[in-house]
Amino acid sequence: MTIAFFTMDISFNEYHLIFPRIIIGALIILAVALLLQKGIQLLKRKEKRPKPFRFFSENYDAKKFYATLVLLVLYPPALSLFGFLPASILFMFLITILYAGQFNKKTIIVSISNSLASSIAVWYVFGQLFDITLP
Amino acid sequence: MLAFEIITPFTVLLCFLGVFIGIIMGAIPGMTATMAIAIFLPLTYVLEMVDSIGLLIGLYVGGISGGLVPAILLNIPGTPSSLCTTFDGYPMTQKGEGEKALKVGITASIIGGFFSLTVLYLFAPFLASVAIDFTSVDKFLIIVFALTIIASISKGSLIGGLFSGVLGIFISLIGRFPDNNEMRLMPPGLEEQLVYGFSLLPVLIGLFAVGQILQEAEEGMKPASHQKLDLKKTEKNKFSLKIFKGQYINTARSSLIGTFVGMLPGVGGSAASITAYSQTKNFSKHPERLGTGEPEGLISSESANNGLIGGALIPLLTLGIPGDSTTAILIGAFLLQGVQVGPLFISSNPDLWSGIVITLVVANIAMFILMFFSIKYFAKIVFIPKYIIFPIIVLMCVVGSYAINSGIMFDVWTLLIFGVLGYIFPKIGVQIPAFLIGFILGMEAEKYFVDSLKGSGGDLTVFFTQGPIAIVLWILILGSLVYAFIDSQKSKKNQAST
Amino acid sequence: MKKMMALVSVGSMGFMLAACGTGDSGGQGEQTSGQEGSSTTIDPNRVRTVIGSSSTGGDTYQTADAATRNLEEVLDTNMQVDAVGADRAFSEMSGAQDDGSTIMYFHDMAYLGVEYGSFSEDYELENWTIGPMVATNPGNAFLTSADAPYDTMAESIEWLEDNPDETVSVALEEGGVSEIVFDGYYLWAEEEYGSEITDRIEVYVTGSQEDKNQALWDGNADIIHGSIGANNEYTEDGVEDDIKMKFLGVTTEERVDGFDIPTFAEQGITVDGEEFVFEKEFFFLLPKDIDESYTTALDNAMAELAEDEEFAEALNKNTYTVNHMPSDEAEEHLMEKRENMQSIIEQAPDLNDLAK
Repeated sequence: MTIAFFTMDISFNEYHLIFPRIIIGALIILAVALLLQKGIQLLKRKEKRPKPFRFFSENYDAKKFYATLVLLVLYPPALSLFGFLPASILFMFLITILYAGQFNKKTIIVSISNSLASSIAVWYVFGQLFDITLP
Repeated sequence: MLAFEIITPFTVLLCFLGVFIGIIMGAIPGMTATMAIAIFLPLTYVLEMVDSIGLLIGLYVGGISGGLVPAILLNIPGTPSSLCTTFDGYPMTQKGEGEKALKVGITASIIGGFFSLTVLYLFAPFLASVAIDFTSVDKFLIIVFALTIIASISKGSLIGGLFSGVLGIFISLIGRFPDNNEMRLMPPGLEEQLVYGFSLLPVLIGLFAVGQILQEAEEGMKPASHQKLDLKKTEKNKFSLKIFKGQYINTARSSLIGTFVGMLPGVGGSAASITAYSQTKNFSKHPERLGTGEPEGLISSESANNGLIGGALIPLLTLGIPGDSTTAILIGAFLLQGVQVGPLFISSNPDLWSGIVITLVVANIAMFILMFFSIKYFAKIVFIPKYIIFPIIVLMCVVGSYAINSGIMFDVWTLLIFGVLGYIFPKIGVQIPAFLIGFILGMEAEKYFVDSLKGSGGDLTVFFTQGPIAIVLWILILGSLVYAFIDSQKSKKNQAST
Repeated sequence: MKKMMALVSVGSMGFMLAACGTGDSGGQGEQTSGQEGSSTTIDPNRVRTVIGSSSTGGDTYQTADAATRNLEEVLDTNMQVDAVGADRAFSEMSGAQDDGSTIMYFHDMAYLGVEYGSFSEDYELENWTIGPMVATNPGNAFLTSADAPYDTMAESIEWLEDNPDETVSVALEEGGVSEIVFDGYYLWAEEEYGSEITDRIEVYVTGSQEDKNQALWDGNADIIHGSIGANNEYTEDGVEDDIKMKFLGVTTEERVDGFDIPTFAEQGITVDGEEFVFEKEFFFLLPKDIDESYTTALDNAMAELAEDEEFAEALNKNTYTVNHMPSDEAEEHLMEKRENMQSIIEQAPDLNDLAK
């Protein structure tokens, strides 16, 4: 691809690269501009120490956060392994109890009913009535 | 009554049912109007043509309208076209004005719906010939025009917003380019899964729903401040038609933009509300307030996405060309019955044509009635404890992602990948709305850019010399950019002075 | 009666959906399972039929829908057509179980795509069990604007000969049916009239039928590939001049009933000395190691369906025709057809040289 003054040599074999090249170019220019902007900002307030970058918010809930991630990642393989209903009921139960935050009679009942009701309802309405292909 | 010679009470009933199911499907994050129509399409085989259309149009109107419920109450766009509804809808909920926001939304929806069906009825054949006069150059410029909204919604950093938008375009290009079937930008090992790139719906709900849930998990699932509000006591939550005072022009302009963008074949439905929102911001008296819970923005987005419906039906019924992905499925309904939609459709099927228009009227009324009376119940969604509603949302998102391309597990992974990105992005300064708009419009921008060059043999001047439509579009694009720049300077000054 | 049934089913769906929030719902206890050993029923109680097109408005979906709607009754199962698109359909098939709960339905592009290199070699016909042939879309055609100075494909070449400064650009899609029929036209022109004519044939490579139509209206293409089913509407009297089209030829052996369109063969278009004929045929593809009895059951059911007049009528509504062949015959036929096409593809021009 060459760009002469206002004309572009385009060939069929390279149709798929024309636009990505332009976009990558634009991304690089914007990234450089962003860095410059940040740099100028830093120079301007030289005396003040820049706030260190924090990824997590203060006192973040590590248990809920990582458990959510783990459950989310395990759910799709479980779907292929156990089928829609068992996997969903289990997943829904675990995640509800996780978010409820306590492990007592009330939360267990809530979690079980939430997981059963929603999984079965989805399975019946979408899988059976609407005949959608479920995971 | 003449109307009942064409449509029967049975049609009306089916239409109401369609709207009802459509609203629920639209309101469930992960289910869309397109999906609703696809599910019911095979069923219409046993119905009469008009009845089948009644059901499907009902699903279409209901599906598009239902999307506003989760957009407003949960900050999750129920369908791609309600993306811009979240910008002002959710802030209103946070202020305790959720119920009011819903009512504003459906009122705007029905206005947009009626506007577009009037246009459809009166000007369809004329507009159809206008629509095919839009060449690929014009379509490319319209997409660029819609993209300029990225500049005007950039919060804090204009360059940051632009970067996010371009990043979205970049990600949307991953996959195979359809003209020459060549892969590009492909992460190694994923060629089979990513042939068609990342699907829009899982990306959308991943970024919004799953990302938000991860963020809430990080913060320990504490009840949101607005969940503690006692709605009955807040005066602000009252809805009255007075809100629309001073919004006449906005409503009309947004409906018009929605209808117009919907009418252009091959320019997606989401572009309609994006373009309308951006123009509302450009013309607003106080643009800085948009995005903080102004009914103005909500009205714009919702009247535009319902305006889209009538618009998208114009090329379908007058040329046999679908205006968006949903009408592409509607074509299937006609073919199932052996009815050809094409340039002679209206003149050779006058009864069916009137039937469609009447059905649209019925569907819009049905949508309004059903939504208006169920809002009280919908609004309670906000008060369901997070530990119950979030797991349900995850479940629906997984099912919806899997179903969007009729059963592809990779779409569930897409949902999760973009869920994690939706959590990380705000922390590293990538702006999600800008990113998504880039993602939604990226592939269309490429298609029409390459099509333009194919037509001109690589001559870039074609973008400037293609006649009056292109020139008008260039003026709009430049105006929009200049305006966004001035606006961003102004808000910087405001920030500095306060 | 049908109306009532539809109403009841739609109504109950709506009701169930409403009940969704409160959860639990009673089953209907209508579990159906195939009778084992019988020759017209199959085991899986749900057969997912993935098709090679992602559109529900195209010929693949239309014919698949008509076939499965009838087949599921004969086979005593539930068949669901999923319009996932060619690559996804193949990839779903690669991962599918051998029990026939996922099968594929597609047309000639299934092997043409492999030959042209658009699909992976892993998807070649040898890696599947070829199922019965179902239908034909005989309307495979080329069109141009109504006011074009030629009326057939052959005349377009003569026109190029008479007007040495003109070019003709043809809109088509890479790797599929439209490319193979274009290749037939191009190779014939090259052989008969030489490269000074074919050097002035360009291609405009694009995607869907809508894109091709738009290319004609935009002036980006002079001739487009299309079909009788999809394009006939634009050729009729009363269509406005700026969108009106006319047919330049169909690729069937005989003229299509009810349409006055000359075939390629009539126009004298030949490749390798033989008349150029190409019919777009639709068939099932099954997993390689599927049980014999499944294929037999499908064959038997298809044979029954091929006799069904209602089925024929459903296809004819959209100008498709029944084209029944049991699976072994279909396999032989497709292998032979592919061999013929291979020779055309080998001689075919590189699109890279033709795209303007």
